[in-house]
Amino acid sequence: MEKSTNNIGVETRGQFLNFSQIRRWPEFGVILAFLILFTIFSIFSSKFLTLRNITGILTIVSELGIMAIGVAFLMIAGEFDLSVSSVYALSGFLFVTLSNSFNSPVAFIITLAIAAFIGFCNGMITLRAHIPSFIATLGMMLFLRGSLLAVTGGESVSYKSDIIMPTILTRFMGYGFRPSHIWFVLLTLLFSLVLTNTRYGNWVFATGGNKEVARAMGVNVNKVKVTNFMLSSLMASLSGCIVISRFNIANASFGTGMELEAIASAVIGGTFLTGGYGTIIGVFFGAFLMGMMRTGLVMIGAPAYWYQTFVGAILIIAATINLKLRRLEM
Amino acid sequence: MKNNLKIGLLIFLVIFIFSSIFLSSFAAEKEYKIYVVVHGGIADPFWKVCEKGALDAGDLYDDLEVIYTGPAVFKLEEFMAYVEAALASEPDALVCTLTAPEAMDESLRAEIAKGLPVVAINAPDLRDPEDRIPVLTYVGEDSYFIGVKAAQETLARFTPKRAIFANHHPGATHIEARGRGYIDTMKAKGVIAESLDITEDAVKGAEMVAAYLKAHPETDAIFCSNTMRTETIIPRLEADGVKVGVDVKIAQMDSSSKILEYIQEGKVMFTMDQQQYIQGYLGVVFAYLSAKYGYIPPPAPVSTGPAVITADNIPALEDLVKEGYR
Repeated sequence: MEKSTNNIGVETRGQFLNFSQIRRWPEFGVILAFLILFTIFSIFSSKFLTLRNITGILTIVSELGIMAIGVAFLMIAGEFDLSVSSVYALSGFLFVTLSNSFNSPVAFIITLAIAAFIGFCNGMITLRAHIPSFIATLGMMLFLRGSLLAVTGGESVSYKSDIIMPTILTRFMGYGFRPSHIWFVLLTLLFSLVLTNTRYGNWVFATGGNKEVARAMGVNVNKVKVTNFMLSSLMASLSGCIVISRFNIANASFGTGMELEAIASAVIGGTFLTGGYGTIIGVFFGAFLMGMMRTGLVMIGAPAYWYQTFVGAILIIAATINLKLRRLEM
Repeated sequence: MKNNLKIGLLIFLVIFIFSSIFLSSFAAEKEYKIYVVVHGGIADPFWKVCEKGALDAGDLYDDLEVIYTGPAVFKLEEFMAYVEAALASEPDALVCTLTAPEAMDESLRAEIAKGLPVVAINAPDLRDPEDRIPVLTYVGEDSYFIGVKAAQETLARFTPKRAIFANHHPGATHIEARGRGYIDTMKAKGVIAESLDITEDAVKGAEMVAAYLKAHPETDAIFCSNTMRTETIIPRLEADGVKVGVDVKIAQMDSSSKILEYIQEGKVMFTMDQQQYIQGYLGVVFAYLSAKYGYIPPPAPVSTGPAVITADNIPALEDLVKEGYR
């Protein structure tokens, strides 16, 4: 079943497209919602459709989106990672502390390695102890956040090192663009290609769809899951390093609640909580929608209280539309 | 089924676009637009007073539109997103809290260089003078001094065995500065004092203070950095059998109806008032006058506190708190 899902997605793009085909795309709902909101904000605010604003939105979206890609990739394999927000905060803190002691490239590599190890632990705890990943990563989230608070005492740490990694990750390049925008787009394309055009992508779909069938097909389900747990942590860590390079400070409170925003981005983008179905392009637009909404509401002068209301409504609508689209496909 | 979906989506699109155009025609353009962005949370009673000040100042002038915004609960990344969105709107002036000056430096400095009047309120840039963001002025508390004053007021009443500063906004430099002022002053008098991170959540924060008191029962003084936190900490400690006001004496920041009650009952010794209504009000007035006439406001800091509220001041304040001015 999962193979056919993947095949449908590929086949439709190779043929002449009409509306009935386009609406079967898993990304259809989120792209439609994106276009509607984009139109509304552009009408309401004359400054919304400016390069300055679009690049500003991209900055926020890139940081959330990079995390959301990893989260969605794991969700498609049938598992959750709630620890991403703590990995994000921990990575920022490690990156700043290590950079201040050594240099930023070394700090960056060590930080990513530690994040990958956390992902590995998440995977092993989930698979070996047979604890649902929701619980295992919830535990890891609290463990990491608590440890970070205990070590820092809530105090911020300022970045006082070289500009090598900040320049590679997020310093302005010109016209408001930042390298993080490029990283986000490249990672979206890379993960999308892996998911739709490689054997590993098929394994991910199969693992999230039906484990037993996947095993019967010769897929090493556990290996796929552990790899995806590690990728999820790595992406969260990268996102944390990017944010800290932009803010120049790290604090234990960074990223609080971001795991839910990442999951919401993935779900709005068409990824199923049950696994076995999803698209990275959808996640791209899902993250864009989340970031755009906050900025758009501020720009049209709507009270900030509305932000969560809109996110909640869109999440429910998107999940409903996605489910209907999935049924149409079947 | 398929046709229904198509029709439904089309209707959805048409309604949205037409309602947008219709509503936008009512949005009368004002000549000056000022954004007020605070680190929040905007639902916090403290910030409602600041918002009232900002909006009241906006009502003074027919050609001024004030847009007040910020995260629902304090979250630095979200606050920064609001600042960026406000700047992208190309306002005539910006009033904002300098909650994390390192993080805000790049964006604000660039806009100030282009001529945007920026007034800081509530949270100042506490770095070395040459590193500070060149805002027009700062309206608000002297953060370190407010902590010093809270410690001095406490020490004037009794000498604690152990004292804590309950920090509800870890990462906010001005709150950390308050804590340093309190702790330094306490330590100078030989009192064991430390900062306790009580998180963004008022309920969790109360649990953390209760747990701290179990681990350190000799703790007899708390300086709480937020009204809402004090309002949850007191009932939580009382549930543990702690006699608040006797076993543990609390000082805190800002005021609310409940806090005034607690002061009258002797559960809170006093509260430090930073008069946040004035922060919102003067912030907007200074920004507007600068944007329209090029006036330069008084130099920083335009101090709005600390005033110390004790039981003696309550009769004069009760109505003002209810009306949202204090």
